Amino acid sequence: MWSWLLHRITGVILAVGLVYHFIFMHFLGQNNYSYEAVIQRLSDPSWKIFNIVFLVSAIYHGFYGLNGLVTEYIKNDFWKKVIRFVVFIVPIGLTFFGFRIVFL
Amino acid sequence: MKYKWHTGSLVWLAHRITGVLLTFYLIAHIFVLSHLRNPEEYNKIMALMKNPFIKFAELILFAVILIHVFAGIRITLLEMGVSTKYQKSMAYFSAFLVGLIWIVGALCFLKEVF
Amino acid sequence: MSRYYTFKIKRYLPDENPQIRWDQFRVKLNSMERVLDGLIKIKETMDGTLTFRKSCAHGVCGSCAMKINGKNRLACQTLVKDLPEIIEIEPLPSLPVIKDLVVDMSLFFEKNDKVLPYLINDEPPPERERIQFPEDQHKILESITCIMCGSCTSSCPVFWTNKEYLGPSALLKAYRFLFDTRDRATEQRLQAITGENGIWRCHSIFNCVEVCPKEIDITKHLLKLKRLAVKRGFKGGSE
Repeated sequence: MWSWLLHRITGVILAVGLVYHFIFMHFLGQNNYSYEAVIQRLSDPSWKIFNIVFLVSAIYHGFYGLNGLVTEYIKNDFWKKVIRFVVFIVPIGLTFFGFRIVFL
Repeated sequence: MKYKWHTGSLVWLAHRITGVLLTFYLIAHIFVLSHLRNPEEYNKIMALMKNPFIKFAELILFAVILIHVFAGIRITLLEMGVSTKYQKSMAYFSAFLVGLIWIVGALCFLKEVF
Repeated sequence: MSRYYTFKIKRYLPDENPQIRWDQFRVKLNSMERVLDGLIKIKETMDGTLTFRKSCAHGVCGSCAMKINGKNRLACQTLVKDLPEIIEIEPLPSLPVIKDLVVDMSLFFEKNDKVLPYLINDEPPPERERIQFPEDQHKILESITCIMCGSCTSSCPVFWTNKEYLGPSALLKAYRFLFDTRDRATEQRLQAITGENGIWRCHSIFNCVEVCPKEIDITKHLLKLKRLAVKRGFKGGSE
């Protein structure tokens, strides 16, 4: 139950976060994703927190979804285990790389 | 197998496909950003992003995100207790909003490009 | 007013080669007649080997659920005048076919058994029946009208690909007892429906609602079950 609820909560966080993400990154200003601008933003602690919450939510939300697809579509028990393992390990790796970006 | 489509099942399928696409996009997104460790490589990749083909792909990505978000909002509202009698009107209204926001967003986006 | 209808029926004859074929029958039916009348006419006057289930023929027993023009419905409740001239009939999707339109429902009933479809109350029985107030009865009335025809579960895209999923019918049955004021097994029941293949696999697709011959808003009930499970979870109940 908690995993399901967290999927919904992260969904809401992402929906709200995306509005901010889009308006800021694409609709306001010109050079928001030049190297200097990104680095400067990353040094701001409030951006760090936003990025981490956003990152973890997105990874959890996405891979919980994929895990559900494994439950619903993979019939073979062996492959189910294998893909489930992949769907478990890849997000951990991604979180690691994501954190390395945020704490550049 | 052939089975009659209904509003709910169409929204569900769209939600599903866009969800899978977005998860894979997330991996790609993190990969691109991981080039931030090296300014030269990052700038090289960002220069690639100016390609009109990529810009077009980004517009599709925007649509995919909107579809997924609004389908998600509809499901969450239903789960929070909004009456199921509105499930179809919610789906149609969401589709309208997706279209509207996509057009407005695309215009802003293109302004940024040109 | 009567007119001719073409029944295209998907046959499955395990002893013949090929086992699967589509047969066509031209049947004259009047506007008051139903798909089931057409099937009976075919069986009696054209092809005695055509096999399908029927019993009450009045939408109560749930035996004649089948896929008619791409959608699950009861043959006895579908008037031919509401259908186009060509009527395509197949067995219920995703359940093993035994012959022609007859499917093996044991998987469906197994799911039903998993949700403990009986009243559980270990309090000493009162002198007369266990009392239920009309208001409490109204809370479960809609879910009680289920006739277990199998239309909903076999219309569910999640069930099509995941046969472990409990399915709308069994979950509706769980609702029927969870919200019954006389029942005491809330924890046990929630345990039974909140597993990996339980209530969380419902994605509010509404296919079940579209097909229910008793017009039960099944998804509404399953959404209530989700909220109940979440509420219980916060109170430290079962996962």
